[in-house]
Amino acid sequence: MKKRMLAMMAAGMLAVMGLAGCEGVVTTSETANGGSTAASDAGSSTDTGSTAEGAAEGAVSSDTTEIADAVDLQDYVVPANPTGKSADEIKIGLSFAYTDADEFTVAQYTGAQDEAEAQGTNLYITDAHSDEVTQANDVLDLIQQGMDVIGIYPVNGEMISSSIEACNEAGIPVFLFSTPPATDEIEQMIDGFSGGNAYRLGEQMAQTCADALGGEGKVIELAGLYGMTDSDLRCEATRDVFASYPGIEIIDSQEYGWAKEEAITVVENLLIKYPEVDAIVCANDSGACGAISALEAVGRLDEVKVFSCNMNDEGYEAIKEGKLYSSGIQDASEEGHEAVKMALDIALGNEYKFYGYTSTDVVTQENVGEFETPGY
Amino acid sequence: MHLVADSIKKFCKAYTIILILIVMIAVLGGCTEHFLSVDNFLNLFLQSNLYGIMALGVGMLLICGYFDLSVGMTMSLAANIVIIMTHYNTLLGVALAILSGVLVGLINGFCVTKLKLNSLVVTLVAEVGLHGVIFLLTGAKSHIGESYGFKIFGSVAIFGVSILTWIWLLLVMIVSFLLKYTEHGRMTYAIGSNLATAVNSGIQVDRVILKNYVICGGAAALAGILQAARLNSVSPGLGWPDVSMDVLTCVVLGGVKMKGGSGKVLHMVLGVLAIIMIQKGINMLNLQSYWKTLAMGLILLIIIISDKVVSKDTFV
Repeated sequence: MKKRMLAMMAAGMLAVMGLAGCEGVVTTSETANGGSTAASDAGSSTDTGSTAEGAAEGAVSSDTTEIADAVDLQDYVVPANPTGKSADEIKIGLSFAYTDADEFTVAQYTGAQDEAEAQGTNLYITDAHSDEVTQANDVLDLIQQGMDVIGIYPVNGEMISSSIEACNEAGIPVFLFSTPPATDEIEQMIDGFSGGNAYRLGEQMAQTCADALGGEGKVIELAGLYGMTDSDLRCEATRDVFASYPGIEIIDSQEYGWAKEEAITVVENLLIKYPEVDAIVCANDSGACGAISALEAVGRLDEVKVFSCNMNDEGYEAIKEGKLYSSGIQDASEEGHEAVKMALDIALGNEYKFYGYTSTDVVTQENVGEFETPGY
Repeated sequence: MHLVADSIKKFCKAYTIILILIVMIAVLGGCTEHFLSVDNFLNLFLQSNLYGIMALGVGMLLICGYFDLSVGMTMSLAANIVIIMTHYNTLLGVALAILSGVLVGLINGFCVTKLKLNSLVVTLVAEVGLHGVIFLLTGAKSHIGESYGFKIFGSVAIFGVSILTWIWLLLVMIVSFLLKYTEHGRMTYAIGSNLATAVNSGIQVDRVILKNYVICGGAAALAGILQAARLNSVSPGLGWPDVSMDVLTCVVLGGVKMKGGSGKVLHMVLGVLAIIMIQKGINMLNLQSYWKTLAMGLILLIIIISDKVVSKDTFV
């Protein structure tokens, strides 16, 4: 009896392994070249060979080239190519990563619905509840229902490629919203991106910092997570701005994994290392609030200014209390509106920007009263 | 009169899940234009095979009266292992992934049978622990598969039906056979319906339970491998935190009693289809996603009530 069961299991395993291996282990970079976009890609020649490297190295190197491309494509305008359809016959499918986890996505969701109603078009929204597999299923359902265009807010930037491929194969134009393409390959497979501009957030923060310091000072940079698109773009922007201020020096750069506790530890160590610090710039408010805690503990908050580029509730309070100098905010509702507008532009064949960025604002002690608390 | 009522009750008891499915198909078919198409049903099966394969293992365990709430992370671990291994050797990766599932099953089974720990607690702890293991293993990073063969395997279709669906159907037949026609299957039912009797009649209870845990872990790992092939990528957050509970819901919806002793494989399959169809229905009717949670709750409530009404047993 036992033997028979074992034999059965072994046979099953062999069958699967045989099928999986029948094509051999081919490392190839041609897996994602069926792109439908006409976007030029001069900067990606440095990327050859990176896909054949080990897992960790591959991820890092493809991310760094992605930054170069994102900046290159930033102003690319997709030319008009009218399809002769009208808004009321267009079916737009938006696959959200989630719609109920925080107020940001609720505002996005509502914004998209309002825009669709105003434009008189048909909007179909799915919610993956933060589950990658559910999102893959959702996109299949949208394809099945014959959408004219599909927008995806990916649960996971890398795992979305198979769903984008499915849209390409079905001949349905597809764009990303809210989270920019994580890799070069994905950028090549989509028809656009609509959402907040991580680079601009970093740029605005760095400019505020440079102004506050009067163009001179020693700055510590706290990056969210090296290799992650959002974090890297913010750091890149900071460097670019500071490049025109020779008096400003970035004396150290560390990552804190977007976590406040980690940021406290990192800043505590850095404060021991550097007796003279004028400012700390952070990828988001979790890092900034961690830095503030560490500074308060050693009584140096009055000599070091803290800047951030993505506001949360704690950061909002910190600005009001005068502990945090500035932060950045994205308009969630506008992101919803813009996603539907981009979808319509693609489906109607209007001219549109490949990277359709939504507005970002700097929040400081002076204007904090004009904004509401983010709710997350 | 009494007889008629009785037979209606009996029918409802045996076929609740079929009735629910018929109602759902009728509603969705009537309200949406794309639901009643061959392509849509092929999609339904493709979308169901992850839960479907995991449900087979969870169902077998539940029939003998034990839980496995660690299948979500067992699946995720296998998927992560196999995708990372596509950078080196895919075949070895598949073998390691299956092995990881079997190992998790062995550890769960050992804790339950030898240490006499509560299966609900043990597997819940395993789920949390494995979540940590996955983050350590992957360095908290997402990975994309590097094997062209593995990627192609995930998208192969035979007679228009995805290979993943074929594998699921094959496994359904194997598990049906196992439960119906083998000694192991009969012992599984016996242990679930009355543990004391099973022990007294000389069944090596521990061995049967351990085997079922291994089968459950192996099935979850296989589901993970197939899902990895379908998506050709994986994130450390895959399957966290809902998948285990969802699979258990499918199995219970398919009529397996929480206290064990009864259940049919075919009904489990229908339970999975029903759960996936809820999400599909919400998508196709273009309803706000909050309806999904409500629909899940309502359908489970109907099942529980019908169960209570038609039989004297309590549900749990």
